[in-house]
Amino acid sequence: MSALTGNLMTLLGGNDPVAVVFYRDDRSKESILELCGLLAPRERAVIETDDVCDAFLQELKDTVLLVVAHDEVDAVRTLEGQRDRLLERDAPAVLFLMQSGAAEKVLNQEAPALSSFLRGLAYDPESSASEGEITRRRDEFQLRHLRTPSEWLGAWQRGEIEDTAGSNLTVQEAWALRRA
Amino acid sequence: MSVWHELKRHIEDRREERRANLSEVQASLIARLIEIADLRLCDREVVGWFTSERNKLTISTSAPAKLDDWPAIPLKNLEHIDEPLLTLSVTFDKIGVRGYSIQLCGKRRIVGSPPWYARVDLDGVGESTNKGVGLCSHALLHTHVGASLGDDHVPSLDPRGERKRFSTRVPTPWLLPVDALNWLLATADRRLEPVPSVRAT
Repeated sequence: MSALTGNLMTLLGGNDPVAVVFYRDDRSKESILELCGLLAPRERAVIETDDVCDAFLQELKDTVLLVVAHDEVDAVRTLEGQRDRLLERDAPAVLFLMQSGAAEKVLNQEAPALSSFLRGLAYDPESSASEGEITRRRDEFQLRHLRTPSEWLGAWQRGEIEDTAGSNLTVQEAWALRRA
Repeated sequence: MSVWHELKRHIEDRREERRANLSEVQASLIARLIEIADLRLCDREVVGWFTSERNKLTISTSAPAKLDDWPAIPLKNLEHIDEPLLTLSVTFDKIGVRGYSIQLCGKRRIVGSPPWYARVDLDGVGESTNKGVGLCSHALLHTHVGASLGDDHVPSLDPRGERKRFSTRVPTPWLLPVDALNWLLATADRRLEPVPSVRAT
């Protein structure tokens, strides 16, 4: 499933008490932190913290909190255990979790209330599409171009497709959809 | 080793040295577009018009314009062109930026002149390709400048005997997508020059 920056913007500007952002590594975490600072409404304060308990502080309830915990599993458990206290928040506490990491597993398997809070409030800029979604997109591509993405790429690399603005955008799409 | 091989090696080496991941590229593009929006040259909503997944970053269908079938970011009040539209797509591999195509097109302010466009293409790094006639006429990273193919280019035979339309590609050194965006913007408006000249005193 694709991640829209518009959704992250809505999330950062909304009144939901908590949200989650998934990152792949430390460098992508830093970049997404920067992105959150760019996309948050200018009238809202944005603070980065490593203490998940800051999400319960009354004086920070209107602040967008970017929670980068050293122990992400503990952060998930803390929010799950005290989820009712999150309801006082007017701006989201955005929990940063490593994609496919231990904390994501705990979130999905041991934190049903927090998971339910977070439904529709997650941002993962590098998410993988499901097999079904990829198949659907490959079929759409083939319908539009009369070649599979891999066939189209082959023709492109052999110089059989004209080098136009549209074909240069198509090549990026075909590469993303190709069979490895 | 010819200078063209050296240029190719330079692109490959710089890509590895400056490993830019998807989030980093996205943040850099959005940061620049916010500056453009602050100059009232595009809508501030531009920050919400990007979409990404595991290995691809592009403009989402929530953008209010289209160029052919592609979602496009409309700009406004540029010095040299009217109705400017920006399209882009970037793909990533394990190292970082693998390929991209970023284009700015619009209408010249000279009556009767063909539409104007400039485009920067990074062909897939590390992939074998047989496009063009070689690394000189078709460098791995290159720009197209002028009118679009369909407007004033005449069909011609290329040296390999294939019937394709003539296309000029200007080789460039390594540019990250935000650098390519800066170049495109600076061609259309002097205010958007990212590195103003230092005048001798």
